[in-house]
Amino acid sequence: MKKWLFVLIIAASAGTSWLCVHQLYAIQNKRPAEEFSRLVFLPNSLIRAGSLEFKGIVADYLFLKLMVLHGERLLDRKELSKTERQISYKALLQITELDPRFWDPYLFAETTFPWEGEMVAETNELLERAVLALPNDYRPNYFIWFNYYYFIKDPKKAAPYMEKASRMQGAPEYFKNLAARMRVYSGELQAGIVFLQQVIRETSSASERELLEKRLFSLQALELLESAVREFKKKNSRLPADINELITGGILKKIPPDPYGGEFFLMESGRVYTTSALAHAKKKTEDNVPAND
Amino acid sequence: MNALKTIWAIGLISFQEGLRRRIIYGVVLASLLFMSFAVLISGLFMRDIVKIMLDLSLSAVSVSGLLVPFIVGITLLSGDMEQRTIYTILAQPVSRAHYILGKYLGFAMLTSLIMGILTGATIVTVWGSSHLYAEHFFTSLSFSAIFLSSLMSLLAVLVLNSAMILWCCVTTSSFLATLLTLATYLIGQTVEDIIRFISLHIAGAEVSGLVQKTVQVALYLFPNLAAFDFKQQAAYGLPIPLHEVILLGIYGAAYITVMLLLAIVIFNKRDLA
Amino acid sequence: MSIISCENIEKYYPEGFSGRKKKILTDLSFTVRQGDVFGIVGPNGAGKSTTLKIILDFVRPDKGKASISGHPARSHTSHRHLGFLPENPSLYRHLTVTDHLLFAARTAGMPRGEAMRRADEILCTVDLSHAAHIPISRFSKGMTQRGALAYALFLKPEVLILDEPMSGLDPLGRQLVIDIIRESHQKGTTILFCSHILTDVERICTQIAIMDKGWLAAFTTPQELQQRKDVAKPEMSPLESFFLEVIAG
Repeated sequence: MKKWLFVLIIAASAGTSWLCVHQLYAIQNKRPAEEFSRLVFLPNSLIRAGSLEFKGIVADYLFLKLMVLHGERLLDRKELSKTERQISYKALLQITELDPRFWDPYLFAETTFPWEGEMVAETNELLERAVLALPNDYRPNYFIWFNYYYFIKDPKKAAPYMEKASRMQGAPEYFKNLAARMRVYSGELQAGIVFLQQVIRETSSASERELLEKRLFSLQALELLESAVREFKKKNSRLPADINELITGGILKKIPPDPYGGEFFLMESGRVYTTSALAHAKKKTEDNVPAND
Repeated sequence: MNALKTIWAIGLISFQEGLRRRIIYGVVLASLLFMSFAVLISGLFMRDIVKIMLDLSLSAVSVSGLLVPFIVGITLLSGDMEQRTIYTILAQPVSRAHYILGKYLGFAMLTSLIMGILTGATIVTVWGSSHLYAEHFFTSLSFSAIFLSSLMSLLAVLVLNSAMILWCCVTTSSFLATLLTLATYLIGQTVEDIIRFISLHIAGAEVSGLVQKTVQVALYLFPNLAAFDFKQQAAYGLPIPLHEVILLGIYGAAYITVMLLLAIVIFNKRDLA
Repeated sequence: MSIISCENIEKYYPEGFSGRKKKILTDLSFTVRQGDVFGIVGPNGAGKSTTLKIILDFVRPDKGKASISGHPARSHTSHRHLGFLPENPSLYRHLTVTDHLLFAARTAGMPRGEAMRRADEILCTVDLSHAAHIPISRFSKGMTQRGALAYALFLKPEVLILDEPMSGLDPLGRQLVIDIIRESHQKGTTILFCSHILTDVERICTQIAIMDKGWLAAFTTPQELQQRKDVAKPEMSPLESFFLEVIAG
């Protein structure tokens, strides 16, 4: 064959292949959840047996696929649909079945599901596995405590978990105080702040840190405002008429900004909330409004 | 004494023959590339960086070790019969038992070399990564657990090697020997899980008495390779109990002895033409 | 004194799945005396190679027994002081001829220095000194045959068994093998070989056995063949003529 023809054929084939890659990626991109669900909805015993002696690496692979799914949704600024949440949860069950000591999936579940408003009970069920698999780690108990206290608002159910966590090696000293402050008004905001600070300290991924810090700033802003409201009430024996009275009343110099772009407002109960509801385009329901202590 | 010298001579020539095949270098190179990939990919995960790195690296160690029974071993052993290179060995004052034991020794040396190199690479990889990532990710790292895990993986492959030799003596076909060795590996990895599943008596998934008995028999007939897997313990830096290591050593040695003796008995009766 | 002996050997191979057996060797008995060059000739499928393989214990007879130097063929000790050249020599393709010779040295407990000296000597004899460290995969057929011959002769065997040693060799290669056989015979080595090249057998053997359909059809010696020269067909050697007579009969 002539040399130029040979080079031409190679170049044309390589070019075609290169163009196809981009197209194929776009096509595949539209259905990662579909294929992922086919994988994670296989019977657990089949995945376990099929993993042979490579359960760890199969768990890593499934977790990577899960992170890719979530990462793409983040980039598109889209929330997961209900189906995708179910798929993600099933994936986490498979992953923790294969490798119960794998901490990342538990952390992923904890920093994703309850904050997006749903599946708190399921998250706790997952974390119970971590309690068994990591008997010397305080974190699973701590997370379960947090979920009961902050999301489910059931301090009675939460208490035993904090007691267990505070007694474990490596648990921060302030856990003991935290247990004691659980019944104090707005203790749940404090719990939220402490929780997020702890998680951020242990996170290396920049994108994850950004998300968590945003949440932390919003809770700190709420805590600051509620603290100011308590101070105003103490000084004036009444609640401020609105949030701006905290400035005119000389308690605060300015109202901190809401990282989610909303505006803080004062409710009748004296609690502070925000028009953004601390999330991206979430529907505000009665359940999202913090209860009066 | 002469017998040991003869077995050593056969082992050495088998080891040399295996080593000179480029596939070994390819396997080691591919595994080293895979380990470098492991260092990069572990950074994608949130915090279990060491676990991911070790999952990938120790899996590479296991896979490269498994290539000896599945590819190199069967090729060499069946090749000996098919291409009559076995006459080269048996023309010397070498009994068939010496031949089998010598071949096994050669494969054992080959497996140990490959898995040894890759275990060393794993340790270097993890040590090197400790300079790339923050210190707190490496608090659970245990080099002794990594070493023991690789040692147990090596023992598992040595057990599989003995089964492979038996299958090569039973059948003249290298394809069938490969299938039987693969079946031994798959059964060995899953039989324990299957027995546990049966013992749970899950409603709707009842198993007949015959199947239960068959699975129980399989547990004793086939090597329980899953018991040798300590990769997850090594990944989390958990201590590997010494009494388990000793028990597995005894079990492995006993199983290998049975397999090789059976292979010798079958091989002794076989015509080599 | 007999060095190699076969007594009433019978061998069957199974035919298909019917359970029937095909007889390969029938009541085969012969001895090879010390110092003899014993040739076995016969048409293809006569059982020549099978006979050698039974003597070497590569194949087990269904009846009868064989022995080498008084040791039963089944015992590996019968291979002490034995050299064997198979029909299609197979050496390990990725190793060198030196690797093979060192293997033989190790089985015999020969020190490495002595082994290397002996290797140089034997490779020179078979004209492979230039290829001592080249992998067998790069050898020609003739070189492989010579390499296998070097391996067979390396430990200075007292008994040499050769299966079609001249097969596939060019005239130079064949002459080399014939010279080696003659040289070994002069040193007192007992040689047993089978071949279907009758002219070579006639030139070098002291005893000749003709096999046909698994049994020993006839024995002869060069002296007997000389006496038959007159009755041999003009275009054939005495052995060729005798061979055809025996096979046709």
